[in-house]
Amino acid sequence: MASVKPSFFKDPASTQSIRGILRVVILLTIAAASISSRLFSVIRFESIIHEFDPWFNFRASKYLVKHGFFDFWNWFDDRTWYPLGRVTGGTLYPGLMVTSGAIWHMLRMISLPVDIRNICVLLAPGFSGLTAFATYLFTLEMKDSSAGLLAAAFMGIAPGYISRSVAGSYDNEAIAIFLLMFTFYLWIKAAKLGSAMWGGLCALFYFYMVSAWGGYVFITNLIPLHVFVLILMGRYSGRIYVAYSSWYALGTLASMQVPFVGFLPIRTSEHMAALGIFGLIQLVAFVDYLRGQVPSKQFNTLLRALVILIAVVAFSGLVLLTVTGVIAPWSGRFYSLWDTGYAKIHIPIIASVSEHQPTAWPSFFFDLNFLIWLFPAGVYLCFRQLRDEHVFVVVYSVMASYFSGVMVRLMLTLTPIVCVAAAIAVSAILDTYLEIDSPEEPDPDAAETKKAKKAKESPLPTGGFLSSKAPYIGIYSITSKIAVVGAFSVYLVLFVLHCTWVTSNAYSSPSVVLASRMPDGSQHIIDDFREAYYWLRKNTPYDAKVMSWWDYGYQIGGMADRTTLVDNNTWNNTHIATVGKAMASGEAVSYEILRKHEVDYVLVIFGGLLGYSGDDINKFLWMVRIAEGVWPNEVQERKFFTPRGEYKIDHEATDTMKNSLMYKMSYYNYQNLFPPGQAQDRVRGAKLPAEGPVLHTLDEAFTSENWIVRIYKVKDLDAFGRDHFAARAFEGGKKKTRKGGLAGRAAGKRGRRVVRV
Amino acid sequence: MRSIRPRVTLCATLLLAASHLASSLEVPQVFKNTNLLRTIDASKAYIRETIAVIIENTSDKPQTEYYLPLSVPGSSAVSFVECKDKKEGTPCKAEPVEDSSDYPVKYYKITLPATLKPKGQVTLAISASITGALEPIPAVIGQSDKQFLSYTGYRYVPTAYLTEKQKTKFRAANGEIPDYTEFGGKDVEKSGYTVTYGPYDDKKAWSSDSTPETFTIRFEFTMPIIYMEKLERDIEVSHWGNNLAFEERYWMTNNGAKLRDQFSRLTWATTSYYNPPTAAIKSLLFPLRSGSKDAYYTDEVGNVSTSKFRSDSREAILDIKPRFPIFGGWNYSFVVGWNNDLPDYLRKSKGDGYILKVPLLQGPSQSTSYGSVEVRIILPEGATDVTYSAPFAIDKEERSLHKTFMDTLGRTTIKLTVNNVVDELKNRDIINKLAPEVNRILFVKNLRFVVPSAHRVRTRPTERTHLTYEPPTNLRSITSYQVSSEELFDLFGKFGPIRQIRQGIANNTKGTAFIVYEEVGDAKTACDKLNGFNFQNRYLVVLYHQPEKMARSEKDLAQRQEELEKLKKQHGIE
Repeated sequence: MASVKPSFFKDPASTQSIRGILRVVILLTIAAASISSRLFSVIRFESIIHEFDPWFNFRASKYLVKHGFFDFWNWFDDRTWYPLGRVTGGTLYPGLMVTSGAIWHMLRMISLPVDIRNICVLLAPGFSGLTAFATYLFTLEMKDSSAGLLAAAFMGIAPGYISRSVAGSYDNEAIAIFLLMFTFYLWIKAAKLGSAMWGGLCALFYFYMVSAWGGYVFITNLIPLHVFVLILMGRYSGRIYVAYSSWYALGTLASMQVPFVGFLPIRTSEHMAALGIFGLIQLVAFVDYLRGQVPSKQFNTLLRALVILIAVVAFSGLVLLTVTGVIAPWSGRFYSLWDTGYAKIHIPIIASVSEHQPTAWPSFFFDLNFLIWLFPAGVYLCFRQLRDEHVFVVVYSVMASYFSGVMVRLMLTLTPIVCVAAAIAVSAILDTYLEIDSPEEPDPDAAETKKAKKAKESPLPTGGFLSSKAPYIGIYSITSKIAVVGAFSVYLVLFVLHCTWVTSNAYSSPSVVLASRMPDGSQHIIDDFREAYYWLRKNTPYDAKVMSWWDYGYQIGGMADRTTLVDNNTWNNTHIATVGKAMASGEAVSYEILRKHEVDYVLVIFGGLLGYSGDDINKFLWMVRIAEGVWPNEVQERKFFTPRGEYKIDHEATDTMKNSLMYKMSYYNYQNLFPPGQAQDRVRGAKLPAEGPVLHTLDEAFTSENWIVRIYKVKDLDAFGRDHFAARAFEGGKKKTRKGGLAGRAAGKRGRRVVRV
Repeated sequence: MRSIRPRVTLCATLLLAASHLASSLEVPQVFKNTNLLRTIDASKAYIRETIAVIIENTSDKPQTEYYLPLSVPGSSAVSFVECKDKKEGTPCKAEPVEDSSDYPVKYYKITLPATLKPKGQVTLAISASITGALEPIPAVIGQSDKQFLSYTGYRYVPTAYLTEKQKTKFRAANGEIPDYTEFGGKDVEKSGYTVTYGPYDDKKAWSSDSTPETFTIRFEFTMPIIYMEKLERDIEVSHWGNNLAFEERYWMTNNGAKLRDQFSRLTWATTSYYNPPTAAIKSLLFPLRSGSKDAYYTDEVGNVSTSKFRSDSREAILDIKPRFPIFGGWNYSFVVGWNNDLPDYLRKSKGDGYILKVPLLQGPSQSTSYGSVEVRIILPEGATDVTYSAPFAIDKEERSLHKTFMDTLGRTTIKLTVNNVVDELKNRDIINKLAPEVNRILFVKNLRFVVPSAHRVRTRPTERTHLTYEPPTNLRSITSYQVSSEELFDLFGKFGPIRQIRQGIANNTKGTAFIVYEEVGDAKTACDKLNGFNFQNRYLVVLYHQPEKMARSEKDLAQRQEELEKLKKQHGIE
């Protein structure tokens, strides 16, 4: 806004070049800062893939570099979703793996054989540097380079983005946020210049985005919305037409090349807006053309008729196509965007994921700190100018604000625009208050000349608020300048401190490895997950099938390299429900399910000894709920609660709970670790019954050091054809005396003894 | 004629095969074993058999080759045989006899350090490591049960000669010995951890026709039987970093008694307080050479935090704990690595080459046997003419290029594979000579020169090193032609810039020249290309200049000159 006066640098040309160099240096520093602030986990732990989904992406990347692109493309994975298998090549977004694969090959080409794991681990930090750069470019289009640099810095260290891009968090979002920002930048550029080249570039990056993340739908809807708003505002122009048409035509065709997307862009409701706007903009262009040809009176009639006709045809066509099933109706996840309670009632599996929960208010401040209250100010500043690109920011802000309130996960899409808006606000404030020269004292006589001046200046090139038409004066008092600038410096410093603290404490744990402190302050690593997975990997047959709750599917696939029944991407709800039922039912029912699915090992996570709260007993109710959704008569959530409606695992636990496979597997043999009668569950803070559960159909195969992971081997059918309950009873010395019992008589005992199981 | 020939050969082959099957190796009965003591040491994860024997030459000719059959029953195999003269301490060569198919023994031919005269006696100490000879009985045990191993061997030591007196000692690990074959005689004695068989007098040589008596000993073994199915060991030399990096990838199995039931963490956790002896692998200790640093321990799923590394001026110890205790039949694979300062291992040889001296095998301090060991030595980029000498026999050698750290050519890599190794071979050095003879000075012989007299010393074109004397009777026509420096420049200059050329003018250096190149590489190409090159009707002999060899050859020359003088006198020539 305000041009800085060349007071320090005499020569304007040299000032320009010095500024250019400074900009480059600052951007590089920002990139370095954003990369290094994401390395906490690598330094504290090791170069390791985090959490759950990244393990799948990592496994897929390994497959890609090992077998080549085309094998990857046609990859049928028979080691997941057993017994169905997964057409992995056609059901994933390959962008992430292809990116790291390309980097891997490039490094090989210059004889730098870097392990694919390290590329995967460091991909997200690397791309965060690029994201900062893309944000700079985007903001540059909105305001000026100083705002751009601020936005880049904010973006580089904002916890909202760091949460998904620390080293090791090898997820689609790692590259997608960069692509999102860069696509938007290219779109703004295209819309500003009306250039088909920029539109084409935008389409290209849109394609990359489509191949990388399911969140591309956000772009697919946001750009049409921007165009729509512009048309409504009467801002239609040839530039918009060229930009949108070239982006939509090329981008849609390109996006359909991704197998997982395929024909979705023309068949699902989520993509219809883009198509509709594409039609609309053709009409608007046509009408615009007509307006030039037809006299205005006839034109109005024609327009009215045309609008009504087209609206009716388009709407009825859409309804018809939806009803006949050509266009798929909105998906459940989409509905849950509008009604936060929808998922809990209809699709428990979506609701069971913590990142699909509505956002809590504090997390806005936690993830964005002072940006969140600067955000409205930035949006307001955009309103003041309201050029085409500012409309985009406004539209983006509104949409992203809403969605981030609905789902925790979508905080990620809000973060970039918050950074941009806040940077605009901060830079506007600094522009105003950092000016050293104070304006001259207002002259009473000058009022009139000012008015005259204002009259001259008044027709601003674009719209905006009346307030923005007032001439810029400046700040008189040096004290207020110092106060405001000082205050903002403090905010900025606090922001950096906050970001570092949040990153270090909240987002840098790999969650595969847990850390605790020893009494002397040294770090102690709790590595139970890898211990157990590695045991599976090394000491079970290669084709062994492991059943676990779906959370651990990817980790078992990645670290233990064993076949799993369900994993984090299983679409088949019934399959997940089957696993849920096996966990929630008694042994007799479960054993049948296990046998039918040829399960060799069952894995449960148990945090009772260590106090690890993310264990299976705490997730158990979701298993029950999901199973109940499919078999309402066989599994009932109510039965797992005490008559008082409490979820208990101690002596008050219901019989259904105590007999469930999950309960038995979690607490099997656990009470023997304690003096009699003093077994304690440290997560739920409950005292366990003195008598532990008895397992008939499973054998304990492996328990990790801190009992977090427990693996059970499914017993083979009994050699004598008995059921396992009878066999166990026999081994336990209890004689089953169905026909008088020879054994009983031989031991000198009379009467019938019936074994209860 | 034609139709018969193949048949004849076929018959011959059949006969050969038949003889191969029927009889054992025919060992000439030229020795007798005066006294033999066999010690079978079973305190390790493999068997170590030591035979101390006094042998006497009974023939009337001096002998050097002594044969020894080693018993390798079942799936066992001899890993390594070493032999020395017990009194002198001089080592002697022991090599397997290839066609001794006389199962279950394997013959070794021992070349005595010195020729043994008739009636002469010598004491030999032969030690052999035999893997796979121990069998856990019972094969499956409970988690906290004791582990017992059983060993079966021959009551009388299999020998190729008559043995006058012999005794066998079996030493078990420090545990009880519940069962051993007693033969019902007084010749068997058990004391502590040792069982002794013998002494026995006048036992005949081994023959496969009779069924030899065997004894079986079952003893407690409180340690795991660590078996590395495969070890890949990388030794990377970095000239730039002045660093020698080691990385070892192990695929480990516990070959002890298998776990009867599944693993119970509860039992393990409760008993581990008492720290009882267990057949599970709980930890491995890697003694490294002092000065080792930056040690790491990882496996296929990442870093393992349960390791300790201590390095001081005296020693460096890497103590690692596997992620889980490894019971019998369980597998585990892991990677350890560390760095060392290069100067401790590398020195400059005379000339422009380097000599690298590194241990071929290090490994854990617990007794271990290895299925196969692949040692990869990665030398700096551009290293050429690499030779090596290994402390024991190498089964396979491969050379390739390894590209890393932005290499353009790739680093010279030698991969040495040895199968069936025991940890006794630990810390024995392999010496890598890095182009020891390459230098930038070439020594050219056999140039045309003016013969001053009727006699001349000339080198035979086919031989490189030995100068031979051509008798004066075989006089050649004298040529009045001498090779000029310009011509030499033209010829040798084709391979690179030359710093200097010196031609010999003295009597004994006539026909030779030194060519000094600016670059070692050029010298090498010139040497490779021009050795044996026909230059002005004579075959050139091109060698690298080696001062110490030159000195020797000068001595030779002097000697020859003397001989020449003698011959001259003899034949009455001037």
